Amino acid sequence: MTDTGHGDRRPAGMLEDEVLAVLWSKTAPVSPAEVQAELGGSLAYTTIMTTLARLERKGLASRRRSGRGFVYAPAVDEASHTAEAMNELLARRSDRAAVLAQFVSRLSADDEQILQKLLREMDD
Amino acid sequence: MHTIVYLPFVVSALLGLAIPRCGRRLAPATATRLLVAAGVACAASSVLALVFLASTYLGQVPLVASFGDWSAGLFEALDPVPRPAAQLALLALAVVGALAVRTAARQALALRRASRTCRRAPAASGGLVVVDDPVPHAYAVPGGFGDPGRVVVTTGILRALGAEERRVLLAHERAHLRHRHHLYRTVAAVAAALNPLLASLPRAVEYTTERWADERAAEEVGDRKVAARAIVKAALAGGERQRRAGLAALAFGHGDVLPRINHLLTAPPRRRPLTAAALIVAVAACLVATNESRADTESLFEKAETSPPVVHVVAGGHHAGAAGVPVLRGAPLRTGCPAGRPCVSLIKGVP
Repeated sequence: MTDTGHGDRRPAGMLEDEVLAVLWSKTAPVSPAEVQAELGGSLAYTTIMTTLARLERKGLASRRRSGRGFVYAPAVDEASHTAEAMNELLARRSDRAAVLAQFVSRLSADDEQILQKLLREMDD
Repeated sequence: MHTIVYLPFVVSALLGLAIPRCGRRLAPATATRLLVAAGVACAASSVLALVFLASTYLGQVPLVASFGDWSAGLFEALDPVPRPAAQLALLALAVVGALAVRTAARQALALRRASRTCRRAPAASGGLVVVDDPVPHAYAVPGGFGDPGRVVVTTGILRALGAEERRVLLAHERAHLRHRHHLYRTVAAVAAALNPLLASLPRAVEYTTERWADERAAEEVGDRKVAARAIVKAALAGGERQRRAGLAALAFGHGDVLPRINHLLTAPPRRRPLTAAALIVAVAACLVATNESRADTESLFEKAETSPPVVHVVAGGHHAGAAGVPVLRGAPLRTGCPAGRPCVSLIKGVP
């Protein structure tokens, strides 16, 4: 794996997470090259290939032949199996505050307007 | 008992007022550690202060005194604490004890449920579990012993973010697990149950742990602005979804998203040695007060300690008196009389 230096302090072992997140963020199966493009040029193609193969072995991704190579998709069955347990966990109000750390809490209408304005400024 | 016994309550009340401000001012990791430590010290010392106060009432109850080595009557005479204050302390002790047990039990149950769920959820090597759900959600589920836990995200939130922003999201949630933020939150909840004056602690620690994870994520991606944008987008995606579902705003929100973004868009947190020092002084004051009151309580019980008097039977009192030996009630006549115990001498043979 090469390191471009700029802001790339990806901890070892975390690449699987990011590749899996890419697969799920797409609605159609993706090729290793597309995953590589999505994650930025600093990762070697072979690294992406090995990571995808590992995910497939774990049953978290599935692959099928497409042209000369393979395309990968997330394993939906596996996910729906765990989704139920996770939703159950999230539904318990008493668990949420201390035990489950949520990324963002809900917004008030005022906050939402401020954030929309902020996002427009950031994108400029 | 000196009035210093009440100091932990005063310090707790001041800390309760200062907690939100400290949480915003201090660098997040420092804030989390210091606030939780100060909260624990204040909660523990105020519970002990209640114990000391309540003991001055309990010591006067004859049934309790009969188990110990002191006299209920003597204790009552020595007692420096007004009886209603001591009774109130006993009542308060029972209430906060029950509240703390309930909170601790709930937290333990929630943690166990979380770790059981983790074991059932197959994850990528970094602990990621994806749930196929359009509702944007992301959270960290702590594992049990030896289990790093899981990062749960929905497809809804993954699709709302760009590639770099997804890295922020994953790094943020992993930071929660790596730094065991759930333990700080759990301890804060129990401390607040033990001392209601610290009611602001759990919310403040939730906020400082979120900020802590934000800072780690920004470091990992190397761009504070990208980190801020990830939070903005995730929050807006949630708001969008909420409106479509017809849910009221702020159903369980705390309104802490804006300050978090604000911090990321400005410089990294600075050191605040004075605020940190003030918290350390507060903790020290509580510990000193507790030690003083412990010594006071001990000496109170020691003073009230009694034992049955030693009775000496002195033969030939008449002769003894004639020989010029003073025969006095309370004065030990024989050697080998235990020091510090009252003595009564009975004189036989007096005409």
